[in-house]
Amino acid sequence: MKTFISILFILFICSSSFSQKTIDLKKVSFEIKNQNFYIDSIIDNRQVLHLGVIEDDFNNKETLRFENDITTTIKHFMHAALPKTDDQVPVTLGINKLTIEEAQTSIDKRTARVYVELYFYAENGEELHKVAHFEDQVFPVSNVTEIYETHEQRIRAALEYCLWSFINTQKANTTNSLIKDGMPDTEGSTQEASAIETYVPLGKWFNMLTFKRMTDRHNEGWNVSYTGFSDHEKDFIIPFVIGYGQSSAKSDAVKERGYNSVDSYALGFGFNGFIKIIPGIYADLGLNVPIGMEVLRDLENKKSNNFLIGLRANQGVKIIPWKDFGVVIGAGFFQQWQTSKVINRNYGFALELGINF
Amino acid sequence: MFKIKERIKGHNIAYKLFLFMAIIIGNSGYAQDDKTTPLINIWHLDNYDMGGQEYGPKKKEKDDYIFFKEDMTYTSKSEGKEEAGTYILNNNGAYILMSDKNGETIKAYIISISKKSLVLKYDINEIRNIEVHYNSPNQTHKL
Repeated sequence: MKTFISILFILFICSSSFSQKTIDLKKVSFEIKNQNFYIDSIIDNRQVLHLGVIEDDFNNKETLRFENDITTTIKHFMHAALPKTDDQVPVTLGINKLTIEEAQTSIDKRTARVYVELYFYAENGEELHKVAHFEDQVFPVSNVTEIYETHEQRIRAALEYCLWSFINTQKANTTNSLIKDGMPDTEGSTQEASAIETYVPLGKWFNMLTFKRMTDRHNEGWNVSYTGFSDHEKDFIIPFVIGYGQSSAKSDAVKERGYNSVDSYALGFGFNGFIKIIPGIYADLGLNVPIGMEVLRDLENKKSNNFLIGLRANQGVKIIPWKDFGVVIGAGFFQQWQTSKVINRNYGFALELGINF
Repeated sequence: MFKIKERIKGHNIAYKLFLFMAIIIGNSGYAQDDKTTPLINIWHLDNYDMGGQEYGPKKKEKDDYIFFKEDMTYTSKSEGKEEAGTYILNNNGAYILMSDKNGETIKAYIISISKKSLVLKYDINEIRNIEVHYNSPNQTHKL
C-alpha cells in the first residue's frame, strides 16, 4: 500500500512538473544607437513571480516562466539594445509587472497579449519615468502553436516599446535631460508625462448552448441557440449568436381582425448585448428596429401588403454560476410595437436554460 | 599579364571590401536612428493582396502614400486625405506604430521590406488579413 501511495505521489509530482513551461528571449540583432544612458541593473518588484498561466490544446493549464531568472533575461536584452560605454548614465529598471495572456476574443479570433509595467530610476534612486504597455496581437482562433511560439517576441516588443517611451519622454521634456554634469537632470521632470495604464486582464471566452421558451399575448414559441462572448468587467459585451426557433399562434387574433392568414418578413437592426453586473450575473439588453413586409389574406382570400416598421426592446438576466463548465439560466421580457394591421402591440416573456462550456 | 592579374586582384579586394561594407550597412538597418533604415522613404500605395489575389487601389486612393521621415515623423495621404504624426519602428515586434495629431494610433506589421518595396498588414479588424503593398519608385530620392 505504501509503495502504491509513493508511486501515486511521484506521478503527481511528475504531472505537476509538466504543467510548467519555460520561455527564453531570442537574441536578435537590435541596438538603439546614440543614447546617453544604459540599463545598469534590474529590480524585480513583481507580486506574481511567473509570467502567466495559459491553456494548452487539451485545456490543461500551464505556468509560464523564463528559462533563467527575470533579471538576467531582461539584462541580456537591455545590454544588447543599449551597450554600455563609459560616457553614459546608468539607469536602473524596476519591473513591477510582466504578464503573458491569451484568450479567445471573438468567434474566430484569439488575442495574445503581454502586459508590462516598468519604472526607470536614476543612480540616486529618483524615479525618471514609468510606463505600462499592452502588447497585443490577434490571431485566427486555431493558431495555438503560433501564439505560443510568439510570446517571447511580444515580450521583446513590449520591452522595446518601453525603452522608446523612456527615450521619447526624455527628448520631449528636456534636451540631453539625463546628463547634467554626469548626473540626471531633475529640472525637466519627466514624471508629468508618465502614465500607467490600468491593467485589465483579457476576458474569458464563454460558449453557451441554450433552449429558450417564449410566450406572448398571441404566440408561443421556442428557440435553440449558440452564444459566444468575451467577458468584460465594464464594457458592453456584444455576443455572437446563432439560433433556430419556431412560434405558433395561440389565439384567433388574425381571424378576429378580419384576415385569413398573415405572413411577416422582417429584418432587425439594432443592438443586443450583456452588461456584467457581478461575476456570473449579466443583464441582457436589446433594442431593435424590425423593418419588413406583411402579406395579408382577408377572409375572401384577397391578398394585400403592408409595410412593417417597429421597435422592439428586451430586458433580461443571465446567470452563469460556473465559469468553466455548468448551467446557464436566463429570464427576460420583451415589448414590441410595429405597423402591423393585425398585432401592432405585443409583449411577453422568455425563460432560458442551457449549458456553458 | 602580371599587371592584368594585379588589376583583377585589386578589383577583387575592392569588391570584397564593398561587399563587406554593404553587409555592415545592411545589418545596421535595425537601428532606428540609422540613416540607412530602408523604412525612411516615400512609399506609394501599389496594390492589395487578399489571399494571393492582387487588387489595385481605388480611384480615390491613386495618389496615396506614406512618407516616413528620419526625425520619426510621417506624413501620409489616405483616400486623398492628408495626415501627419509621429511613428515608432518596433524592431522586435516587426511593426510601425503611427500616432496622428489627434492621438489615434495605428499599428502596421511589416511583412517584408526592401529598398523598393514595403508590405504592411494593418492591425485593424476589417483589413487584418489584407497585405498592403507599397513601392518606392524613386530609388534615388534624397530625404
